[in-house]
Amino acid sequence: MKPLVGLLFLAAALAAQVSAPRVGFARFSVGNVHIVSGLPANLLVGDVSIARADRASFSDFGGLLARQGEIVLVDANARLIASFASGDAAPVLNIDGALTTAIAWLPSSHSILYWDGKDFLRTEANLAGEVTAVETIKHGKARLFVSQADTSIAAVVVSRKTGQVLDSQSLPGIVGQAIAQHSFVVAADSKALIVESSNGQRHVLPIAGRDLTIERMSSDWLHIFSSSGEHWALHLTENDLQLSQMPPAREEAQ
Amino acid sequence: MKRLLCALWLGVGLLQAQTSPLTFYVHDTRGVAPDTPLSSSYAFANTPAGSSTSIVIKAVNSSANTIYWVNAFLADSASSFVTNNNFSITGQFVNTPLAPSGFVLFTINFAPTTLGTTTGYLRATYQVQQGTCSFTSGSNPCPSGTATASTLTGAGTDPQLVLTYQPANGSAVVLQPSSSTPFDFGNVSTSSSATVTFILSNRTAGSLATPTIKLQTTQFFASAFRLDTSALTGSIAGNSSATFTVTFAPGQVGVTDPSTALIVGMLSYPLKGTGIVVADIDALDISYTDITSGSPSFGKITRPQAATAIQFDQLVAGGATSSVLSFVVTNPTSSYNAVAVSPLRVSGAGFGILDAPAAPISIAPGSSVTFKLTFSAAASGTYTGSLSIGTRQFVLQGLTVVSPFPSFSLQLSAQPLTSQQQANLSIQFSAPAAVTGSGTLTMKFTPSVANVADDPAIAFLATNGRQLNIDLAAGSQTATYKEQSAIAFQTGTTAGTLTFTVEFVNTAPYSQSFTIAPATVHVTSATAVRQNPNLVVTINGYDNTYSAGQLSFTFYDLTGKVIAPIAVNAATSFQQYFFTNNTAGGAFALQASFPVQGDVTQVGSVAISLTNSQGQTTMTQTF
Repeated sequence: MKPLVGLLFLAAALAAQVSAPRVGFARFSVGNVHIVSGLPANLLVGDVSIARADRASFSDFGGLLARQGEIVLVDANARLIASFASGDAAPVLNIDGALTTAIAWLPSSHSILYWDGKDFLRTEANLAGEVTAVETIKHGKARLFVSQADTSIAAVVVSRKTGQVLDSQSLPGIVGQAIAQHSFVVAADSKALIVESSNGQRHVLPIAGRDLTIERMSSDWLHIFSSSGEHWALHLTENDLQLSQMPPAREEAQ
Repeated sequence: MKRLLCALWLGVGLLQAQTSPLTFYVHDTRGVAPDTPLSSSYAFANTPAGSSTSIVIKAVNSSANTIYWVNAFLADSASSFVTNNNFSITGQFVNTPLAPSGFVLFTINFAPTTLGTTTGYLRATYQVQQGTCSFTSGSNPCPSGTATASTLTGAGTDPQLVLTYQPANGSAVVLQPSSSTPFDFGNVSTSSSATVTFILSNRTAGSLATPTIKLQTTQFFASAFRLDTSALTGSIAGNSSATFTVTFAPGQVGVTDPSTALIVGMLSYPLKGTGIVVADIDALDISYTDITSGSPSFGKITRPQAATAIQFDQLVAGGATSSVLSFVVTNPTSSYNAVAVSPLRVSGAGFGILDAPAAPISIAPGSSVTFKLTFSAAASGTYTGSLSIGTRQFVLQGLTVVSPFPSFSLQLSAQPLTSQQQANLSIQFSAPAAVTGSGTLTMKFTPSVANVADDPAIAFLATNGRQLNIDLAAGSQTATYKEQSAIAFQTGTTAGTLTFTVEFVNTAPYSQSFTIAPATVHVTSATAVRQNPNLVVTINGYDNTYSAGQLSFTFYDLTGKVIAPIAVNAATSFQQYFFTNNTAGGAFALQASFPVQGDVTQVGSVAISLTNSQGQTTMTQTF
């Protein structure tokens, strides 16, 4: 056994830093984006809107916002880093880690747009079907969830650089709006939220709402909301799964 | 400057040169007759003063542009913006965009107040959408114009009903509506009253419906006038008359409010009276304040008039037990004499007096006496009594009602409540409701932590607020919010008491409180990460006592052997966080970083303990 020679704690601790637990950023009706803090089952929506967006996705390190054909990359404090005029009214956005995970699918041009650390780069990709989610995966690849004609979902892996399709697998039993979260797939229909792990194990969480949309609030939190104004927050990590109702932004409730 | 004036002139001229984008029609609201264009002149039928004749106008945007309908009005000349009071417009939507072919409807009423022919000019103001202009922008407004649609004439004929009164001496006097000289009841002592009998005469041969007769008084203030129409019937026979009375009974010294008027049908007759001091007791200034707990009028001060009953708060059977008014009676400093008040007395079932000064009561100039009047009655109904302050008399009135709803209770989906919890509340009635009702559900939080006022996370989840409008359907035993009987809320992260209050109309408010007990620190998530040369421990959780301080971290190597126990006093950090600009209640995120000299990969786990006033919480995290 190797002795712990030389392992020495230099100080009791740096001053313990205490702050409000941050959940992330969420987009509410009329496109107002608010900071969300708190804990599962104890969520606080900030009073002030920090931005307006038609689509939004945030990780712990930054966020992507789309508004009126422009895609904006912001840092963890929602400060502008870069923007790209896509002209796309309904891009599919995702950022789930460092800023270099920022990626978007532009339906009107059938293109992937991603951030390489310096610039936005765009690559055309010829995919059949409606792309419902996109994420950056390892080795310069992107994975897209593509809705098929029979409403099933296919996970399609493409090269970010060339747009070439490298792999395509059907996600059995997954229909409707779906998004990848860590090693899970989260799908929503009008009756329930389904969380499927990589080994196929499923959790079904009761959610009743029409026209559900899923957007990422941070690396570990998803925002699920209905067209009728109900909001939920899903905390999902490899070790934790908690679904909470989330109050609306105050201007939405009025 | 000259250039600007020229531009303005050109702008106005351009719009005036355009034809009106509006076309006006006489409209049949029954849909029987087709719309007929409103001619440049329109004559109303002869109309007796005090009556009215109406037509409905349809104004159509007949241009190719969207226009903004500002309003229509009846002017006293073709170029005037001053209205002719013999005409009025009702039912008009103003400030409305009108697409091409869009229209608005409104009613023109001819209600002559004078005899003879009168002329009004129907005018309409609008804006026209041109280019990038805005209807509402101050910087780039759309051009506007005012069209004169038609010249309206009408003749006011002899009134069918005439209002007169009979003075003590001489012949009856005809009252003129809207007169600039009010009908004057004269000077009346505040201990006395004056009653005038008015005569409403039908000058036609046929029977006429009795018009609505009421007093126009200042809202929220007691009136010194009282109307009695008990002698009137629904109609007045031809060439006959009917009578009613108005009593002036001042409770205060001075001239009555100038807006006071007697309204007979569509005609207004201003009234006036002056409360004066005849005897010393008339000078007393009397006022009261509603001090009934929970009353919507709580704190409101009223200066009563003898003509109007002093109204106590309505009581609900099973609710507040009494309504209380606190009186102050002051002898003004301008008085010469002390005023003896005898008796000071209340009569009538349900009414009582508290804290009255002992007899004999004498109020010196500049001094006051106080007392309270109470009203309480278990049985439902209207109660009448009287207050005598010497010769000053006031009528008292109280009302007790019975709730139309069955009794109800609150039920929670989880008990006891704890912090960081989302639960559902339902409002259950003991029997199906016989009638539909609406009310409010309010949530109030009282922290049990010293120097903490609130927890912002505590809210109903549907609205992020603490009050909901709830409904009860007839036949239902459960109240709902937007058709949901389970009303979700979250409990926050502060120890204290949640109180829910349900209020329905004419029903005693019902409140129920639930305690959220103080607890040890609760950890919802934690991570331990090696960031060479540091070990970083992050903890998310809550301390609903706001008292966390002492932390301890015991690090273990990969074999489970203790490397170093480290104690950290984080009380200052927690106190600063909890009590300075707190936005998250007792929820917190703690990050502790430990610089290490050596190979951090040899550290395998850390045991953490956090202590607050309720005890210690321990946990272990692996790196």
